[in-house]
Amino acid sequence: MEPTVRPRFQPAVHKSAVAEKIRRPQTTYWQNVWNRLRKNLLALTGLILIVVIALISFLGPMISPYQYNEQDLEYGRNLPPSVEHWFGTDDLGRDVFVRVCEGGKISLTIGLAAALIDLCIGVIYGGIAGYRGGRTDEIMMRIVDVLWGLPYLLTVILLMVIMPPGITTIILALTVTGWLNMARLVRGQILQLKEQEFVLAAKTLGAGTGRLLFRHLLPNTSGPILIMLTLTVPSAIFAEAFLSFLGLGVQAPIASWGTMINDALITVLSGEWWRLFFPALFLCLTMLAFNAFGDGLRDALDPKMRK
Amino acid sequence: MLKYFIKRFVQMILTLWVIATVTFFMMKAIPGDPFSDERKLPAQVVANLRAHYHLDDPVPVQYLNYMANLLRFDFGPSIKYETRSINEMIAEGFPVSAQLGAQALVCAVVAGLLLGIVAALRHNRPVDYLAMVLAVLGISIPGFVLGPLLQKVLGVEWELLPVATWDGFSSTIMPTLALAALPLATITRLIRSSMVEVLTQDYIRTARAKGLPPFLVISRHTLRNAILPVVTILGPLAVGILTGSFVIENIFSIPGIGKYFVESINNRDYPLIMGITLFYSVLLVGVNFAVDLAYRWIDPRIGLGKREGN
Repeated sequence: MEPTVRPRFQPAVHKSAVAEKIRRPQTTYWQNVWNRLRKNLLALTGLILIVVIALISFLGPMISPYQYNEQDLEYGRNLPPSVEHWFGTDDLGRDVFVRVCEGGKISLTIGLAAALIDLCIGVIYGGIAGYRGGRTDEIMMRIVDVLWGLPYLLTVILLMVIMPPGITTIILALTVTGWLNMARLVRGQILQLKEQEFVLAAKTLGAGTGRLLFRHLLPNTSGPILIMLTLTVPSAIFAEAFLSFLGLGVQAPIASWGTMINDALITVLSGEWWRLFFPALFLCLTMLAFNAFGDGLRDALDPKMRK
Repeated sequence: MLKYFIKRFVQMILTLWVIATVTFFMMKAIPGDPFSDERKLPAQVVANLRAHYHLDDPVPVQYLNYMANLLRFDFGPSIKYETRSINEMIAEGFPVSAQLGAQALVCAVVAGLLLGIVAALRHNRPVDYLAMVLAVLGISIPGFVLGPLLQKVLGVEWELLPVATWDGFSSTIMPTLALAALPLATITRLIRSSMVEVLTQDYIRTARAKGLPPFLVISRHTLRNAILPVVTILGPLAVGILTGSFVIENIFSIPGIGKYFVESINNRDYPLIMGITLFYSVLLVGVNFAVDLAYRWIDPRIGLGKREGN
């Protein structure tokens, strides 16, 4: 017999294939990170600022008609900012804008080079220590512990004093003890990861040491490594400016933000503010940008940490 | 605890030995000796000078002598300031540097704690954002930029404070501020994030639920647990203040060790550079040692939960 009232609802047909279907497009780990990073205003500003500063530093000297070491001792000394000299000139008649760009090139190069070298040494050293474990790890980490006690900037100053000045020397001095951080981080991560099941699975399937390390272990630590890398850059830039400020960094006539600030210290009293202001502004903005970006990256990579 | 103490102590001695040995051989590695580039001296005078400074002994003997002197805290003579030993210069400059450093540290800890606590309690509100902006600025603005800025504004434009002297309390304000900015910002960030974390714990809810006044909840239950990370970074903070003092003392013409150090770098007075580096290294390694022990003493969970070596 037909029911008098037709049922308005009907049971859905259960099809396991449909139920299991994923409706949204899958996002990878890095897409997730990028999505979170994109929403972080501060981090995004930092990233844009880094790009802008890099563009100005590397393209500025091409636009400007002046050279960083071009002097105009007769008419061009201590000119305030104008259409001709955007950031004014210094006491030797050199264009401050071009010198700030030149300093930016050096700072960014040193920051990136130091960070990358730290990365290479730290990953290899920490990777071996963490992967081999046992006695090897014990010995390697004792060495790190002893070197860890060395005060960073004091060591760098000491090295700079005895080595011939120059950009290569600065990078070298910064990385002599700079890789310790990275080595400790990588070693700790690998030590943790290598006990996990996916490593065992890979081993069972016949993966060799190299494949295990570079295909399985290191990619899984790339997040913390990336954060460390981003935060190493501003500390290297700071160290370079600090050394140049002390007279140990790049030598005249090459411009560096540190040397420019040091040369301009007398203007606190004499009043040519632009000589101090522009290099200081660029230095602070660069540090700010990298720090903000690094912080944002940390939040984006580890959403649990975010409050 | 005793086992850890001994282990850390041995490690500290090793670190110091590495520093001393490396500095010694660096001194030897510099081409020529301090008298080779002086104005033309008769060969006999140079020989006498070298004998006076024991530079004519074989290197291993020099090394042993140097180490023996270090064990007696004797850093040897300076070469530019002929009549004064490095010990005298340290004795003269260190009290000044220590006063400045201590002022900066106290200022950074007190202000950093206050700012961090307020930021955590007003989490994600304007006060919090303001504190965080200040903290990021403090981390990004180096002392050698902040120093001249303060001089320009407070000293030259507004004429509130003396620009660059070391005479009385008012002259210490600006250098202290310039030196304290970085550690202050670091402490603020640290205490804020650890306070925010502690505030979500169950025991805080319990404390509130049993009707404890908010002040006691903060001081007794939150801060006590949140302050631990600050203890761990006291070592790095001391390092930062110390290296910061090199430039700050120079900018503000303060007669401390930092000023001697920068002068010695510019004069290439190697024994003085090495001596001060060594002195500061001993100090810093000692501070780190003390902080490590203090941390274990304050927080008994460490060392039980975490296996040593991790």
